[in-house]
Amino acid sequence: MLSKELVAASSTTLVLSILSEGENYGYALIQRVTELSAGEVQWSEGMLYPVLHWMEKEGLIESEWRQAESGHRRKYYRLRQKGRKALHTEREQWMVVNNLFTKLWKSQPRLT
Amino acid sequence: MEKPTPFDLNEAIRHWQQNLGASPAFNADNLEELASHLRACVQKLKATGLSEEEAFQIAVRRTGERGPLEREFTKVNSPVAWSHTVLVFWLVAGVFLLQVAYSLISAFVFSLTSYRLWVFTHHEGHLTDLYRGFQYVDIQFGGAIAMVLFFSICARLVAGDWRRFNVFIRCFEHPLRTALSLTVLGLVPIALRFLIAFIGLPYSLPWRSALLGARWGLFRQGDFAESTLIVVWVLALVFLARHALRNNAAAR
Repeated sequence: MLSKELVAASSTTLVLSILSEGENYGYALIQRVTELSAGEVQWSEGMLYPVLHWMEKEGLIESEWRQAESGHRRKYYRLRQKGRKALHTEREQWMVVNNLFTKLWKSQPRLT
Repeated sequence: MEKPTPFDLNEAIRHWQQNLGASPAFNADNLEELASHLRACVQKLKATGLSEEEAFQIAVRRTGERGPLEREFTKVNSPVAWSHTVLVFWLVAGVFLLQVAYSLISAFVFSLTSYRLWVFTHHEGHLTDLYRGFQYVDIQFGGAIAMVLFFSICARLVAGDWRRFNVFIRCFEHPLRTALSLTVLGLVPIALRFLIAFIGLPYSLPWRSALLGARWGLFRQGDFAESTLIVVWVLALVFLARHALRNNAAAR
């Protein structure tokens, strides 16, 4: 399981990345993260929704209430231009970290 | 044999929403979104073969109890929660400070009048005016002190815990409850009047003047209609402000 700190640090970038695949709603975002990480990353509602609302306030994403197939209303989120740009920057920064670890850990014998 | 009541998912979700809604951390939009989330969760769990009721119980546990959810939502909605408190505080403060100012100015004017009467007239006939003038002074001061006390209690309630104040506002959120609360509120000055009439102590006793002053201050001249109007006006403002803020937050 990912630590609380890492979940918090990666949440915005993950939301931006998932929404870059197309619009989605809160519950599905949590499902998608669980599924992609094989349960290693567990998002709570108390974490996700405030993050989504904050991102919306910052103009990174926008939301819309729509009728779902079940007939109930659902709030869908999608990326805005500012969010797309933010994702680009975030991506570059995470790649730097990723490259760093890859290089560092490749030169050492594997622990497992 | 008693038949168990069938489980109603919509009703259960509405209850859960209501419980969350008691906290200022959530606005109407948040509540609807969380309910929609809960519904999706229930559907998913039902697909695994659970009954609707079991699925609901588990979904509620997973979505999180009110405490942790409230903490997280407060962080994002804090400007809303904050302005709620501040707005209500200043509404209450404004009304009472105005009354305090009114009382203090009146007390000053009365004491000035009494002094002038004492300086410029030594006529027997004016002694009653003099007496009355001084009496008004302690009535007005008593009123001011009572209002400051009442105001401090209100301030303490608002600053201490918002939800305690919420209970007070709730009394006026439904027409029937409003009618009941106003009746009780209206009975207070009437009861006070009866109490004073029955005690029937000499009018000039300081504590009695203070009591009368408190009545004057809180319910100007003891007028039931006017005091009710003031209370209704304040509550209507609080109610409208709360709704406006909630809707604003929802629209954002």
